[in-house]
Amino acid sequence: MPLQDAYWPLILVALLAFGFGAVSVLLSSLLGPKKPDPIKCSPYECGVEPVGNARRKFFVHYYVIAMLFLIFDIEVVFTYPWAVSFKSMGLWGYIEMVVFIVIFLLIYVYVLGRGALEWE
Amino acid sequence: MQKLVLGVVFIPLLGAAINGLFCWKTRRKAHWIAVPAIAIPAVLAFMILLRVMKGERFDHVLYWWIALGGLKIPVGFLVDELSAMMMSMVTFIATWIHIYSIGYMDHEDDISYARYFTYLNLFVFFMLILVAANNYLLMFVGWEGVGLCSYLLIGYWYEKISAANAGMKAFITNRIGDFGFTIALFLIYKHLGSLIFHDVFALAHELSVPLATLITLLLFMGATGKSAQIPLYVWLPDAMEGPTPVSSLIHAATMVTAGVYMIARSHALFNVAPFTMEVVAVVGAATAMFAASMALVNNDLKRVLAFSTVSQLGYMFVGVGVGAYAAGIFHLFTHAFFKGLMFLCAGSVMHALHGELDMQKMGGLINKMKITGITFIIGALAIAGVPPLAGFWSKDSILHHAFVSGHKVVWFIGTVTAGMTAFYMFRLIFLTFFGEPRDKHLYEHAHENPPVMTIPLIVLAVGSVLAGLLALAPNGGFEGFINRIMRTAHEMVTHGAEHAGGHESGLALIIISVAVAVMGIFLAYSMYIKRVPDPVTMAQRFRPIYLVLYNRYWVDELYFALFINPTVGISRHVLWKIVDVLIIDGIVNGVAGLCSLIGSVVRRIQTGYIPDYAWLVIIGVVIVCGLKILL
Amino acid sequence: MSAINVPVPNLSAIVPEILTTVLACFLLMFDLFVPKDRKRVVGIVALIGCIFVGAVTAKYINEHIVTFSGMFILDPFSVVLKLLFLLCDVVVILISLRYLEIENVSLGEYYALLIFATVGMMIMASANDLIMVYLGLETMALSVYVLAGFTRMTPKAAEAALKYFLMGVFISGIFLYGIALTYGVVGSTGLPDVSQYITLNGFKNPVLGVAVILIAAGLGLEIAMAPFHFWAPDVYEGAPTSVTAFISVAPKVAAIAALFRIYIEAFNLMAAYWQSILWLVAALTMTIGNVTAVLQNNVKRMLAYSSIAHAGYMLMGILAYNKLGLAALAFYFFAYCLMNIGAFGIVIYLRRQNIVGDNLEDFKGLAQVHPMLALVMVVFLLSLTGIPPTVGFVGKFLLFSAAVEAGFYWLVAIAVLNSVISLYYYFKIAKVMYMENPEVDVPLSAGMGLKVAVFTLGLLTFVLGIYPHPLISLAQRSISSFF
Repeated sequence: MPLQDAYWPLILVALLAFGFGAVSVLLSSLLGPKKPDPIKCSPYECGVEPVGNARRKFFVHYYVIAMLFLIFDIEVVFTYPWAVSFKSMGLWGYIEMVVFIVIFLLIYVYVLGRGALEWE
Repeated sequence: MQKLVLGVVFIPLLGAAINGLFCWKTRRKAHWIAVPAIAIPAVLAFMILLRVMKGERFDHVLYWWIALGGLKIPVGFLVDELSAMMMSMVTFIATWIHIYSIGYMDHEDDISYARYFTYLNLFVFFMLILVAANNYLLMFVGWEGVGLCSYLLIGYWYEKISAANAGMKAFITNRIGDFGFTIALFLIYKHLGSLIFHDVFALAHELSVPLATLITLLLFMGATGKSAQIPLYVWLPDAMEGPTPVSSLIHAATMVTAGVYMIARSHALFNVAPFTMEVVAVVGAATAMFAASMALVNNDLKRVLAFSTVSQLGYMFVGVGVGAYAAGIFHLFTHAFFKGLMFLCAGSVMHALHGELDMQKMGGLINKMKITGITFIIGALAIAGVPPLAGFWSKDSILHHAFVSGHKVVWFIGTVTAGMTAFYMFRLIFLTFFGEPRDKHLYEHAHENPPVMTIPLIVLAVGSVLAGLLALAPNGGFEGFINRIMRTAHEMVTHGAEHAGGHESGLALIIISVAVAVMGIFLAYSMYIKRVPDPVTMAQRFRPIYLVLYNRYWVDELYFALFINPTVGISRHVLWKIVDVLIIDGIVNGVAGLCSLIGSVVRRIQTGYIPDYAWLVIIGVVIVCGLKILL
Repeated sequence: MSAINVPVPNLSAIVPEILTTVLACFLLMFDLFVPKDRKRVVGIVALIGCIFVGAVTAKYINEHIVTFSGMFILDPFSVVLKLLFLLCDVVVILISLRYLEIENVSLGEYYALLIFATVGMMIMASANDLIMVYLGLETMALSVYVLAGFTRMTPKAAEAALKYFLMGVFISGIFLYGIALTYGVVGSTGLPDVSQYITLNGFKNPVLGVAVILIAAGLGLEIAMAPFHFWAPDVYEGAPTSVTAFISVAPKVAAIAALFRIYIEAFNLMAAYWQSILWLVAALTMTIGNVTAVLQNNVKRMLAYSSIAHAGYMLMGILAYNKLGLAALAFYFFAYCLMNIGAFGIVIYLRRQNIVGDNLEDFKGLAQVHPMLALVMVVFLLSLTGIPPTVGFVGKFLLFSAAVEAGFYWLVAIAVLNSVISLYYYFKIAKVMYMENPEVDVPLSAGMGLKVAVFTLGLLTFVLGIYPHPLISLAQRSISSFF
């Protein structure tokens, strides 16, 4: 397969992605009802007020949740390449991944037990 | 032999451990453990000495302490003529001082009483380690250990701030000396590959002269700290803040002589370094004279004795410095008796007068305290060098060796100092025990102490009389005995002696030094006894009688003026205030000040701000990189 | 699609690390089921766990295994260090049990973090690759940052943790830069590869020289060597005392060990080069540490500066670069662990009611209140000063002898002078203990663990000073794979 041919699928996917995004934004703006209120007009409906002094206290729970999200996200990132080369890595790869996931399970249990996911 | 040696060394440790760990139980009975813990080793040490006299020697490794590659250092003991003599002397004197302490410390509360005996036993243990070690590092253990005990005992009465500070001063001054000692050890190890005496001395002649000079000078630096020589003598007068038996044992008889012992032990090294020997002799002579001159004007009973100790240690250094190691050790030996005795007598006076030390307030005490007075006089006669008492033999031997080895100036200084010694000692005697009591109240309450304190005085007084006679023993006497291990040095000195005309000059020297001593005593007598009632008329009345000593009288008047009004005394000002306080303390304080200064600068950099720290890190890295790339 | 071939590494080499990690995870889980007022149980489990791991680790003392494609090495040196870290853990847990309750932060995470930090240090000790060193360093550092701020309600501790973290992150960057430069020149980060490259191509490339400095700087933070020591006094003073005891010993030892392995395995041919740097750094470190300590009246801060000074002494072991020096270094690690944690243990011992115990005044008259404790403190002080017959003396003597053997006379002179200075401030403590009367009348209340720890350490400091043979032979065995 010539080099330029190898890029065709990539270009196709990119086109599809851009197209999907553009079409959905366009459709929602055409079809959706428009009842603006101050909260809806703000850039983020939930979360931190984007305008104003940046030096103020945040609820520490934001960070905890964000970090947990990151950690579990990374877990997923690691499982992708493993899934792709699952066969070639064999039993050893399987055991490694089980250990890895068990560690995450433990983290999850710990986080639950500590009440880090409860929102007061 | 091994059992004997181990017994001598470790029984005091056992005593210290029992009293230290169970002071709640032993309390007032602490001495029932502490005294046997020294007395038994004293007997054992004497048995060792008898065996050594028969020619036995002992060099045994108990176990290898530090053994790593080529570095092999044992815990082992060496018993030869020198260490056997030292062990016997230390344990003997210590026994009597322990007994004396039972009476002296009876005002202490129970726990302190036990604590005192713990420290004292521990001290003897370390002192024995010091003298019995067969290598430099173990000797250093004892060396540091006695320093630690000295620190604890000087600061024993810590309610007095001066006592606590004096302890600290002693410890730190000693450590400055130890700096030299430590470096010397490393150099010896590096160049001779061992620290065991036997190996070091066997190889000593292979050292180049400059290297040997450096090593011995550093060793001598350690000795100046421990043995209170110029310039590190400052701690010893202050150390008198400790209990008097401690001053007697540690700061007169044993610990302070460790420097002399160390040099005598290292004679093989010092023989390779003639320059160091000269330095030792000169420093010793200078210290002897300097300290004696300060003793002339002091009114504090114990401080006079302290200056006297410094001065006598100077003599010992003169002895070892001119190569007469045995003479130096002989003086060390006799000095332990008479100076130990005099400190105990001073303690006895103090005890009777409720801690009073000012001689101005004493006088006439001989009527109240017969035994203390007489034994004190014996001690003073011994130190003054009146034959046939102990000091005469040893001091004379040192002066003789100094003279015949060509150190005429050193000899002259030594002889003058001998006169000064006789003078200040008898000034002390006359002021304390004779004349009219100057403080009636104190005098009324004075009393002789119980036998537990007076018997040690009598024993040591007998020792002060007889110890010197060992010089007359067969086979060269005491010095001959010590010289059995120092053949080379001994031969060197006798060789020199024959060159200088030997024994004819010897008799002349003896006559001179005895005359000087008698003159000193006589002078003291005339000044402090005959002056009554009025000092001025007294001075006038004396002039026609002692015409020969006329010029002496001029000095006397000067000193007399100083004595009455010390604040105008030039001697006191020059010698004590300026030299000691300004120069010596200045140097010591200056070092501390410099540290503080650097410290405060460094502390200013320590701002506590992370950005500053980060910048400093960057600057540090850049500077180091820059240096390495550029150079 | 190309297959990723993962060779199965020799796992027996990392059994200690695996066990330690399992222990830490277990503690986290276990903690969930322990009621709040009985967290001490977690500590005791951690204690038993450490002892168990130690027993298993000790079996590897004669092994020599290289695994994970040469990135990880298990040799006697690393095993001895691992044992040392576990020993630190045991002692620190003992002194923490009751202390945490007094400080009102008795949480199970404390012990888990301690063990996680240990995992990091174990990796550092075994790292045969610069990346591996970094991995271990960060694993350790992240746990220790949290520990430093464990009493998070006290502003000082929070400040300490933040400072430590910021400095740590900053220096990590420098360390990584050093690794990157090395990789740029050599094309590998494995220590043997670097050594091989230098053997073949020489070390004319100045980039390599800079890398050597940057690597030392990166590890220099944990070692607290000048000029990277500034954080140390602030952090040591602010952190909970038990944590200070830990971070003043274990991470320092780990970092020195890593530096030692990097310099000796990778940059061995550049010895003259890094010796000339370390000479300066060691002299500076010990002098700054000692001279600044003289002015301190806070015992924790004083001990912080003193631990900087001790880092300077320990660097002499690497510097000497001979058999004696490395064995002396290994010996000193243990000696330092015993005496330094011991001294901090005494500070904790004095923690009562509203007294922190780190002020010089708090030591007043200790000899009357608790003579045994004062005696033990004196033993630690003697040992720290290097006065016989204590383990610190033997250690210092070995280090200095090694430096003399290597010909560093002036450095030894500086070091000896420094120990003279150190006497002054160490004995300031002894002086107030023995020569002043107690001021406050609050009785001491130490837990069993603390008592056992302090007195055992005191006894060991003394006994190993008299009979150091077991420790010396351990030290000798630990360096058997280098010479």
